[in-house]
Amino acid sequence: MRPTLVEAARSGDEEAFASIVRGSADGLFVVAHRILRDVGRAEDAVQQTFVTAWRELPALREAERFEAWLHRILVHACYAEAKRASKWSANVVALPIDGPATRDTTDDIATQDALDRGFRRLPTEQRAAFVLHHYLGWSVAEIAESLGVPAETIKSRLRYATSTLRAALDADARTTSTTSLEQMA
Amino acid sequence: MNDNEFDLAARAWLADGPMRMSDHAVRSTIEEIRTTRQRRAVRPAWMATPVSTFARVAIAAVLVVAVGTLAFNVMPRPSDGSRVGGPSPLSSVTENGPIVLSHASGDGEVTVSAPSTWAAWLPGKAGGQAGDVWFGGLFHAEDFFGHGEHIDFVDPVAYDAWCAANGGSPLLSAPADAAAIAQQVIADPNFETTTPVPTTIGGLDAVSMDVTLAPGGKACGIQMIVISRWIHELGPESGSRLRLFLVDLPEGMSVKTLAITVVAPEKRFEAFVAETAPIIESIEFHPNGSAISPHVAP
Repeated sequence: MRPTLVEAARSGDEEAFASIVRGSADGLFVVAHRILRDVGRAEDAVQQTFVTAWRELPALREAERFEAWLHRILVHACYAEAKRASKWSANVVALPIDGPATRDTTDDIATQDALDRGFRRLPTEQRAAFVLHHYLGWSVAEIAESLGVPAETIKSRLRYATSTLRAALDADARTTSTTSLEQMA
Repeated sequence: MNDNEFDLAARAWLADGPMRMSDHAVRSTIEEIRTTRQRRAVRPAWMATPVSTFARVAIAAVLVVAVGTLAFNVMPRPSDGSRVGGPSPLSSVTENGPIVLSHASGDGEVTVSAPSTWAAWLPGKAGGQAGDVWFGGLFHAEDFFGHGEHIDFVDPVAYDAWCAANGGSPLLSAPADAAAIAQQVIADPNFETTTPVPTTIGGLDAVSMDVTLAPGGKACGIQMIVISRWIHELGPESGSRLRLFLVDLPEGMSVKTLAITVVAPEKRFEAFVAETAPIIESIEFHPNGSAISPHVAP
């Protein structure tokens, strides 16, 4: 992270902030996409993040905290996007989540399908904690500090997210084993 | 599935998916920024000094000049080799090779070429908190939060004076040339250095040396000007090494001596120096800002 750029942007230098956008957009986009599982919404969340960050940057006291601060804004932008998405999808009939009619025989793909289905059931707060922990490799303390919530809350979110995803994987494994038995019979 | 297997499966699943935001979305974000006003924070006490009428007139004059300069830069001009659209980089695509961008500093005094995977920010004297200090830098475009690998430019003497004027203890005891600055860095107990060796930058004589933070050496925080922070600014993290180039510039440049640093974590340092050697070799100096039309790298 470039403190000089952050300081310049904090002083109102648009070019410096544009450099920050170019340098960090992809990283934020990947996190937003993994939380929201939608390219368009992830891009909207990142755009909103940068606009908010630019507007509020003069209030950031320590340039070294910029990364954590930016991720905090991003996660809140994801919450807002998810809420907006849930309003739009309220009248849409959900498709069954039993997976594709013809299963891929590759275990990895089956596992990823199961994780994807399980993840979509999680509240956004749990998704965010899970992505920051398992994708960015942040510790519970780092997530708690960045998001401004107690560490116990983050632990709880991670615990629930993990158990939901594990349940999805177990259900998938049971389905696979039943299918195999039926094929053997 | 045990915990380790679950962690591995989760990481593999999270790693799978789009990794880049579309160029259109990035451009549209930057456009949105340009139309958004920054909320001003309460200024620090040292900045909140009363402004005299004379100062207001002077500031207004500077703004008029700045707006005029901006208008001059953004107005399209005929494609006769003159610059169009301000300090945007020029690019060249080599056959089957990477796209190379040529960047000029805001005052046209320094040009440098780098692959398009690098982002450049070269405001010259126009940027940042220390507004009278010439500086700029290049970093991996997709690694803003990444590995602390970058190339920087700074006027060490002006930055040192700025630090001293804002509560810091200067590193340099007096205005000095490249050789004298190198000796003062060597003498500073906060650093460990290699012996300076002669080299050339942009066809000019320069000295080069490696600098790391000494055990127990103080690293300057951004808001904590303990000692002159210009060198820390360029490589503030312990565990990183910087290769410092000091070059005395010719008449007609707004900076007498320029410091250029290549910074990377110790374990990546040699590879990074090799990777960035072509960028350092591409640096050119243009007295009186004659780089109005930055060259296109081969």
